[in-house]
Formats: sequence, C-alpha cells, structure tokens
Amino acid sequence: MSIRLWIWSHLSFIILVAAVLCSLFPGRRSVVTRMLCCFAIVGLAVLPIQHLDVSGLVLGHIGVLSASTMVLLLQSLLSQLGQTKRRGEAEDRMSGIVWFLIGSVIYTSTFGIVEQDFYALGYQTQMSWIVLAVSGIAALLRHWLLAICLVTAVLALQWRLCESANLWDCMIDPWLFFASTFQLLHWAIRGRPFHETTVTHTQPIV
Amino acid sequence: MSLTSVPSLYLALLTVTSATLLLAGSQQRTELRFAASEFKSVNPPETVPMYAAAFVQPAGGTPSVHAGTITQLNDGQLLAAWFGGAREGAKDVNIYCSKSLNPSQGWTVPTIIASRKQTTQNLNRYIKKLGNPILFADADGRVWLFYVTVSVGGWSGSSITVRFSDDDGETWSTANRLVTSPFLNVSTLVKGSPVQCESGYLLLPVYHEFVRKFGEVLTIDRDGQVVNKTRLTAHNGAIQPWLVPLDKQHSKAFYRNSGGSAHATLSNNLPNVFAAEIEPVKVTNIPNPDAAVAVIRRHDGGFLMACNPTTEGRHRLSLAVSTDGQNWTLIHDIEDSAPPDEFSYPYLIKGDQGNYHLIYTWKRTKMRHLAFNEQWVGDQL
Repeated sequence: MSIRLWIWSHLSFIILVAAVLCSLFPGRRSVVTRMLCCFAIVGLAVLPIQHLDVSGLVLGHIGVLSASTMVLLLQSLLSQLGQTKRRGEAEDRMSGIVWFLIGSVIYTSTFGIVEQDFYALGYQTQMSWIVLAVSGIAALLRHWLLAICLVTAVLALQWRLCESANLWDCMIDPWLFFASTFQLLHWAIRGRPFHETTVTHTQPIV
Repeated sequence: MSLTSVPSLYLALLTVTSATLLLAGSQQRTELRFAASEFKSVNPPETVPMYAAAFVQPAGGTPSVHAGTITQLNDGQLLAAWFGGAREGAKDVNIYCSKSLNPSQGWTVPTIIASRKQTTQNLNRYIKKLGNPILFADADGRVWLFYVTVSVGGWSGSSITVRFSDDDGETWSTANRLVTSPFLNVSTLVKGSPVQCESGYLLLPVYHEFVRKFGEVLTIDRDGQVVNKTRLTAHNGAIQPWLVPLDKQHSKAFYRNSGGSAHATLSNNLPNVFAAEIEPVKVTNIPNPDAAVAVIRRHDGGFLMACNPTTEGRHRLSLAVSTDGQNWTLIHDIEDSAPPDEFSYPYLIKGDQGNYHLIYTWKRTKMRHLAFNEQWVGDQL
C-alpha cells in the first residue's frame, strides 16, 4: 500500500469516527477536549490488530470512502463543531437526488442488471469534464456543497488520492448511496429531510 | 468557514482541477493493440512428436490444491503456481509456486509466494481467504502474479490482488489491490491468462459473480493499475473468459458456462475489444459441466482447447481442436475416470520452441503438468 493510499484510508477512518462521535455526543467542547479526542481517534486508527490496524480492519469490511463522502462527513463534523452553517433543506434534497441517481445507474450497471457498463465510463477523461460542468451548474444554483463534492472527486482522481483510477469510485460509495436513498425515502414519506426530524440538539450542551 | 468563503473554496478547487485535467489531457494517450507475439504464427521446428507428464506438487504437500497456472520465463524455465491448504477457502490456504527447467528434470520444492497474513499486512485490510493465482511473464521479463482475495462473504465477494517479480519469481513486490468495482470493490475474479499489448499494457480476463455472472477484461498499465474495464458479454453465466488474439485488434473469447440450460462451452467474437466492439455469445458444440476451459491458438491459426467435455462432472479432461473456434473435434482424453474424481481448471500456454504446456488440478490433491508439441497434436487428428 502506497503512503498516499495509507493516508487516504486512515483519513477516511478518522473523519468517519469523529463525525459519528460528534453526532452521538453533540455539544460544545473545550479545545483541550477536542485535541484529546482527535489524538484518541488517530491512536485508534493505527492501533495494531490481527496483522493490520483498526482502520484497516474496519475499512476492509465497509470499503474505502469516496472523496464526496469525506467532504460531506467533514462538513457535518465542522457543522457539529459550530464551524460552518448547517446544510439547507433544498441543498440536501438536490444532493440526495444526485447521489441516488448516480448510485442507481452505476450499481445496477455493475451488477449486470442493465446490459451497458456505465462504470467503465469513469475511466474516460471526458467524464471528468462533464462532472466539472455539472458542478458548475450546481454552483450556479448555489448548491455549493454538491459542487464542492463533485469537483473534489475529480481532483482526488487526477491526483490519484483514491485507490481507484475510476471517477465513480472517487465520487460515490455504497454508504453515500444508501444514506441518500434513505433520506429521500424519508423525505418522500414525511415531506422533509431526515435530519430535520431527528436531530433535536440544536442548543449547545455545556 | 463563513458562507462567503465557500464560493471562493469552490472556485479555487475548480481552477486547480481544471488545470490538472488540462495537463493530463495534453499527455498522449496510448493506443492499444495486441503484441505481435500474441497472435503471429510461428512454424514449429521439425521434431518428433513429444508428450510428457509430471506431477508438479510432490507427495507430502498440502491436502488440497486447485487452480494451477503456468508461465515460461525468459530463461526458458517454467514457473507454476496454485493455491493449497486444508481445503478450498480454508484459512491456511497459501499460493505456492514451483520451477522446472523441463518436465524430465522435475519441479522444485514448492515455496509460498502469497499468504493470507502477508496479503493482510500489505493491503492493510482483513483477508479471509485467497485463491485462483495467475502467473504471467511479460515481454520485459517481469513476472506478474494475480490472485483473488476475499474479505467478507464467499468467492463472489472477491477482489483481485497483484504482485510482481523482476527476478524470475525469487522475490516479490508488496501486494496491491486492483479496484475494479464501485460496490465495495467486490466480485471480480480471475482465471484466464493475461494477454500482452504492444505498449506493455496487459489485458486481464476477469469475471463478475454477484447478482449476475459475466466475463470482463481489465486493461492494466505497467504500474499494475487498472486503467480500463470492458464487459465481454452480458450473457448470464458466461464466466472465466479465456482471450485468444487473432490479429492486432481482433480476438475471440471462450467461457465456462455457469448458467442456463445449454450445458455447452460459450464463445464470442471480439472485433475490437479495445473499442468495446463485442459480438453476442454463441454456444459451441463442446459440452460444459460448469467447468473452466483453456484455449490457445495453434501454429496453423486453428484453436486448441483443454476442457471437461461432459454435461455433468469433471471426471474427464480432454483436448479438442477447431479451425473456427465454434465447431470442435475432440482429439485426446488426458484423463478419463468416473465421478467423484476431478480433473479440472486447465491452464494452457504456448512456450518457446512451440511446445504447449498444460497444468491442471488432479483429483484436488496434486497439480499435474503436461508438455506436448504440435507434431503430437497433429498425430491425434
């Protein structure tokens, strides 16, 4: 495993665990507490277990996260820490639709449910330009986070930060697809995004 | 991060990404074609018919072995590999290899070239089991080892791992995982021999087994990175493709039939696999009991196939020839027994001096190697 992929996979684990912990235990923390938590998560990521480390063990089962998921988790983490604003409902809905559509096309194609192999298009350079164009449209519509996710996926591919040389692997992973599908289903049933109805800790807990 | 800085961040990322893409686009793209050595017929030297057989794995090896592969190194030696352990899928399964200058001199004591522990450490990823090795000595003398690894579930959850050796299999690079599927990178397996391209790239025939089963081919660059993937067929059950180049672009693929009611070996014509010009799969006249086949081009441009020509069971292993790849004639039974004996997973290559080398699983306990020449094949007709 190259150092580049080692950093990517460990960064995935660290951001994932930090975002999950922040969601589970919301509230304002002191800088010292945050630093201690950060060190603890990094330590956990590299903790040796069964000839590998904990992050390798976890990611071996759940797969490496895409660049888009990393951006979304990072945004969620910063939002929980009060560093950025929460995503708007319209932006969430648009992002959910985009990830759901991409995932539906790519996964059904990969499993052979449809005859065409759309995944193979991810190896073509033209797809990167198309995705950049889509990100531009998203930016014009002020869906900034979606735009940043798309452009980051292309950048991760070009700089070979991801393990894969296929654009779709940098752009989407099954967890982002499942989360978007669940969110869209919830929105369709309840009429609003999932987090609006479940996250209740809007006041900082001191 | 303030709201006003988000557009700035986006614009900065967009600028950097566009510049990187423009730079990448200015680099010349490699046009792929099969290497001439893959399809040019060479007249075999006038010799007497030759047919030799030997067990690769000596007595006292692992209780169970399977999925043999063989390649000829630049110095003429043969290098064979297979997986062995308590049983298929067991945690003690390793990839073993052995060398031989020629079959009459026997094979060296097998050594482990890939293990579960080493692969786990190299990939920093939990590996539950490994199998299906493929060896290939490329034109530059690099020996490639591809094998499947499973982290979760059964064989359909496999991904492909690669190692290479620049000293004829004495030492091997650290293992790297090939990313070939967007869904947790599962369900890409390998069985057939890679094919060399003019540019040094390899075409590796692989197959998918999750939800539906079909053959694919990966384009792999000199660094061992997958740079393209082409679906060879959408026909459900056409797995373990074996690619046979006919000229610079034209090739044929042959498949194990793992589904449907027609228990026959499948094949299709690939006018230009590099441009995804693929014709539909056809059923050949060779029965197939859901078993692997191996096909190679003969010196006269015809085809030679090693297969289990039964509708059920792998107790018979035979050689067949064809002029068009569609209509086959059985010429020789290498093994002919009764169930539950198994002679399976043939792997066929053409070595230097025009000799053919076949390795296969012998009753799941040994690997057996056959060497024969074109004169011997001619005598069987």
